[in-house]
Amino acid sequence: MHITVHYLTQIRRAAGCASETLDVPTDCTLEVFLHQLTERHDPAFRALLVDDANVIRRSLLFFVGDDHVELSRALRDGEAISILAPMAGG
Amino acid sequence: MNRAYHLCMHSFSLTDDERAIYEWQLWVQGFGEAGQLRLKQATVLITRCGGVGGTLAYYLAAAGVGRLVLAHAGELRSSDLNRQLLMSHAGLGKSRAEQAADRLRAFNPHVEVVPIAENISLDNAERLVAMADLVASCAPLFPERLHLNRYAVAQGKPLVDCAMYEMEAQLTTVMPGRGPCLSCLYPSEPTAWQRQFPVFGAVAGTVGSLGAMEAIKVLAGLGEPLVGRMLLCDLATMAFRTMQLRRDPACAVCAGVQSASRAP
Repeated sequence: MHITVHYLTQIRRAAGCASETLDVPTDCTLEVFLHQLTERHDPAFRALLVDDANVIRRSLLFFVGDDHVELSRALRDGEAISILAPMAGG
Repeated sequence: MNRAYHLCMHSFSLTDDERAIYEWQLWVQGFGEAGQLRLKQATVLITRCGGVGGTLAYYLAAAGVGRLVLAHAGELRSSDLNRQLLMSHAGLGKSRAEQAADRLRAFNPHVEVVPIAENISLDNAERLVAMADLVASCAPLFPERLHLNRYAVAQGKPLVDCAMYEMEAQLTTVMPGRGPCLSCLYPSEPTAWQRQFPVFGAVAGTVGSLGAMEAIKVLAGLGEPLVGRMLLCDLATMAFRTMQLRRDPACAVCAGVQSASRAP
């Protein structure tokens, strides 16, 4: 199935693109999908997404469509994910 | 319409001069003189008063919020002047908080402005939040925002969180007990954030203006504040999205907190 991911803020810079579409297995959860993403990109991107123990960072926000979701969320064909590295610019 | 946040009622009224200044906003449906009095009776804590917080403070002064507490340490540097509209070249090397206060007093002498030359820390957050009816969180570091969040939730105060990065901005409103708090969203401190960030003043000012409108709405009981929602703005493409947020039932800060707000 096809999943599109949109990168926001610092994640966009690290990814080098605003969005991309991946082909993933049908039983894929958000967490599995995110780990697949880390394998496609460079260490700077990986460091934003996972910690030293390869655990997805809890300080990131993940949305499917417009809904804030948990890592266990099962993905469905055609869905769009947004990843937000939160901002604090003031 | 949201429920107006409860404020301590005083025997305030508007002077003729105030009615003249605010005449055009008194025409806003659902606002009127009752809404203006709510603003006049309110105290807002703004941390800090740079590109985002300075713009937010400017519009709260314009709207007639009665008392503005500005928490911002340090002296003005040249690199602040692309976005910090309350400052001036003549003020380089001088206190940011004092300059901001002087500008706001000159702009609207009906507003009481309290400059505090401190940034938010664990040592002062409880005391500064206690001074206000509403907190505007505009600091450039997550620890400051999370300290504010902790005490805003503990004291049942609404918090408007405004932030930006490069051409993007985000805005949400925390109403303790009615939606997620910042700790629900960031249970651990975001590690990637750096103190120095790319910024156009117009991006900072955009989210500062939006944050001022959120504060006015919460204080006056207007519209639908961003409780349980986050506005994301991409000024590169002019795409604006409103995302639905989840409250964390196990949140270390707000789990079990019930709403303290009530109808006026």
